[in-house]
Amino acid sequence: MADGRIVVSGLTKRYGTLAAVADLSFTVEPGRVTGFLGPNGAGKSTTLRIALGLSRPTSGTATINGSPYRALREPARQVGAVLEASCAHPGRSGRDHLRVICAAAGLPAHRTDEVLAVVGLSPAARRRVKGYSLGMLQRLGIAAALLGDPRVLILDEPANGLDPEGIHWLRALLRTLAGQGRTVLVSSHLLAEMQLLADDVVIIAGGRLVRQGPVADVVTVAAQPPLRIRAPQADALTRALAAAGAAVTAGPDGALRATGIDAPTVARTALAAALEIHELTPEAPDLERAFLDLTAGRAEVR
Amino acid sequence: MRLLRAELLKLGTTRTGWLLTAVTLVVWAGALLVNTLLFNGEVQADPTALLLAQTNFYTTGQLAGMTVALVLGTVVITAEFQYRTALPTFLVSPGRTAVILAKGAAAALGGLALWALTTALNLALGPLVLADGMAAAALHRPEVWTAVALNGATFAVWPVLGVGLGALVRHQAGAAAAALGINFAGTLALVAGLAGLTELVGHRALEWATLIPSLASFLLVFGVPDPGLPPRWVAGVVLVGYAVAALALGTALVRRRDLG
Repeated sequence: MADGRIVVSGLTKRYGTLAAVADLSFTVEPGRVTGFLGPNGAGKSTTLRIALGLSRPTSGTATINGSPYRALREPARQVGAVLEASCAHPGRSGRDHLRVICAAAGLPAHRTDEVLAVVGLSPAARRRVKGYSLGMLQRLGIAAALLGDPRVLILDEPANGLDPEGIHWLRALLRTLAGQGRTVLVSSHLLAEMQLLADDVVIIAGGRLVRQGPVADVVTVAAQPPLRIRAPQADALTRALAAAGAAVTAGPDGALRATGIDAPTVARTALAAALEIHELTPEAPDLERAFLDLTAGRAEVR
Repeated sequence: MRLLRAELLKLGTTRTGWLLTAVTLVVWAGALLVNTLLFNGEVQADPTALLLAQTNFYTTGQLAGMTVALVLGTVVITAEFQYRTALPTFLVSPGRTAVILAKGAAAALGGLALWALTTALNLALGPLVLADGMAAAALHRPEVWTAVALNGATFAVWPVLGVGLGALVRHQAGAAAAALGINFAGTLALVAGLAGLTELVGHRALEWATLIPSLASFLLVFGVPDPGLPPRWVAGVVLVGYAVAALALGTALVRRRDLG
C-alpha cells in the first residue's frame, strides 16, 4: 500500500537498562514537510534508523507505505534517506558513489547525472569524495536519496554544513518535493529554519513523544508568547506587574518583556496603578521558545 | 546479479584493487625469480622432483596471491564499516544475507582476476626464463594444467574466507593484519604443533594437516606427496567448508548487528 505515510507505533528501543526510545508513536503524512525535533539524545536518530531497517526495535513497529522497511519491495524507489553526510568512500568519486547505488538498486545509470544536476554537484561529479566539503557531502547524500525518485524522504540533519545559500536551496527543494505530494521527514536542530520549512512537527524528548501537530498549533499552544511593553514609568510598572505574578525584564531599548501574564491583566494592572502604557504587543510565536518550553527538564544526558 | 554488479563496481572504483594487484605483482616477481633459479639450477633427473618444479613454476605467486586474495576479501567488507558506506548499502539492500553473498562472490571473482593475471604472466614468461624446451615440456603435462586450474580454485576460495574474517574484525587494518597473521604465523604455529603431535602419536597426526587452510591449499594444488595423507579432494572439501563457514559467520554477524 503506497500511501506515503510513516507510522511509528509503540516503538521502544532499549540498550541494556537505557530506553533510547520509549513507547513512541506518531504519524507523518504525505504532502507535508514534518520536522522531527528533540534535544540531543532524545532518540531521533535511533527512531529514524529503526524506521529504515538499520536497527531492530525492542518492541513496537515503524512502517513506511504500510510495511516495515525491510519488507519493502525495491526500497530505493519508495524511500530516500540521508542519515550521515560522510557515508561515501573517500577514494571514490561522487558520481561513482551514486553509480554503485544505482547498480545495487537496479536503477538506470543516467539517474546519476540527473540527481547530480538537481543538487548542483555536476561540476564536482568526477572528483574524489575526500575533496568534498561538508556541504558537498550533504548534497551528495541528498542526491543518493533522490536516485530512486522516492515517494518518501527521511533526512537526518540535512542542513548541517550547508552555507546560507545551501540552506535556502534545501528549503526550496524540500518544499517542492512536499508540494509534489511526497512525504518529507526532516530532523534538525535549526529551529528557526524548521519554523520556516516545516508544516508539522514531531517533538520528542527522553525517547518519548512530547507534542505533534502543525507548527502553528504547536507554537501557540505550547508557548504563551512574551509581551513587549513600553511605558514612561518602567520601574513602577515592573514592580506592579511583578506583584501581579509576571516575570519582567528590561530590554536594551528600554522596552519591558513580560512573561507569565496576559495582555488584559497587564492593562488592568497599569490602570489600577495609574501608569501609562505606550506599547503592549505579544511577541510572535516562536518554535524555538515552544521547543524549549516543551522539552524543559527533559534534555538531560541519559 | 544487481548486488554482484554493485560489489564489482565498488572494487573497480577505488584504488584498493589496484594497490592489491600491485602488491601481488611485486611478491609474484620475487617468487618467479626464486622458482626460476630453483627450476634451472636443479638436475631434473627425478621425475617426481621435475613435476613438482614444473607445477611450482606455473603456479608461481600462489602463496602471495592467496594471501592478497584473503586481504581482498577482508577489504570488501571492512571498507563498508570503515567509511560508513554500510548505511547506503543496507538502505538500498535491506536483505543482508544477499549482500554478504554478493560480497563473497565479488571477492572470489577478484581473487580469480589475480589468479588469471599471475597465471598469464607465468605462461608468457616460462619460455623466456626456463632452459630450452623445459617450458614446452611442462605444458605438455596434464598434471601441470590441473595444478594451474586448482590454483585458481584456491584464489577464489581465500577471498571468501576474508569476507568472514572482515565481518568478525570490522577494523580494516586490523582485519588485514589478522589475515596476514593467521595465514603466516597461524600456519607456522599449527605446523609446529602438528610436528610435535607427530612425535607423540605418530605419522597419523599428519592427516590433520589438511585442516590447516594454507596447507589444504598446498595439497590441493600440488597433490598429495605422502600416501598417508588424505586424498586431494579432501583438501578441496576442507577449503570449501571453510569458505561456507566464513560466509555463514559473516552473514550471521552482519544480520545481527544494528547499524548506528
